[in-house]
Amino acid sequence: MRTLLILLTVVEIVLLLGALAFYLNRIGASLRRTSSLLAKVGFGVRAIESHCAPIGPVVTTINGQLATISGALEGVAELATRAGDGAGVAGAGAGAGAGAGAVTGAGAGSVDGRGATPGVTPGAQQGPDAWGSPDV
Amino acid sequence: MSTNGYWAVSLVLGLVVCLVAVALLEVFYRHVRRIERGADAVWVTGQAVARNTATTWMLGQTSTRLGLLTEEALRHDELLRGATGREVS
Repeated sequence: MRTLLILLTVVEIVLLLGALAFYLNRIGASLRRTSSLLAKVGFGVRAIESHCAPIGPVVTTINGQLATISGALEGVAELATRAGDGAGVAGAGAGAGAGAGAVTGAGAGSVDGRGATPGVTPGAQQGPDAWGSPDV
Repeated sequence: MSTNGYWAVSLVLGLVVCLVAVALLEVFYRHVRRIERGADAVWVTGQAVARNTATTWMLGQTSTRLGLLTEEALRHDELLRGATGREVS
């Protein structure tokens, strides 16, 4: 009887230690994987933070620039309409005699937007084609 | 009760304690596995977020080019004002 009890005691101790070792090993492995994943997540979050850092100030700047562009283009559309009307009137007054100078000036003015400034390309300023009149 | 009787009772109690310990360890292991799966999901989502934000560093360049566009629009405005000789209200 005593021998059986000793044997059962040993078996129970072995079972307890085996179960503890088995579960603690599995839990430890899972925690190691979790730690590795969280380390990678931390590294990635730092990278994302550095990527997104300029969004705030740059978006504010872009909004300001877009507001400026929007304000300028509203006036540009109206001024272009007036310039087109004025050029049409001037072209009607000058007739077809504006000639090659007007055509050349119109080309320069159309391309870079600066050739048609007053005094730079007179032909373009006086000709009917300076702002792309309908008859071109 | 004899000494052997007490010994047997303690063995039974030890077996019960062993089973309870195994059950608690199993519960703990399942919680740990849930945390691991959550971390894995965070990692996968983080990769997608990193991909989606990989080009945000170019916003500075966008702002620079928008500045050039602003200058060009203002130049057009100035040009047309000079050409028409009128102000737009």
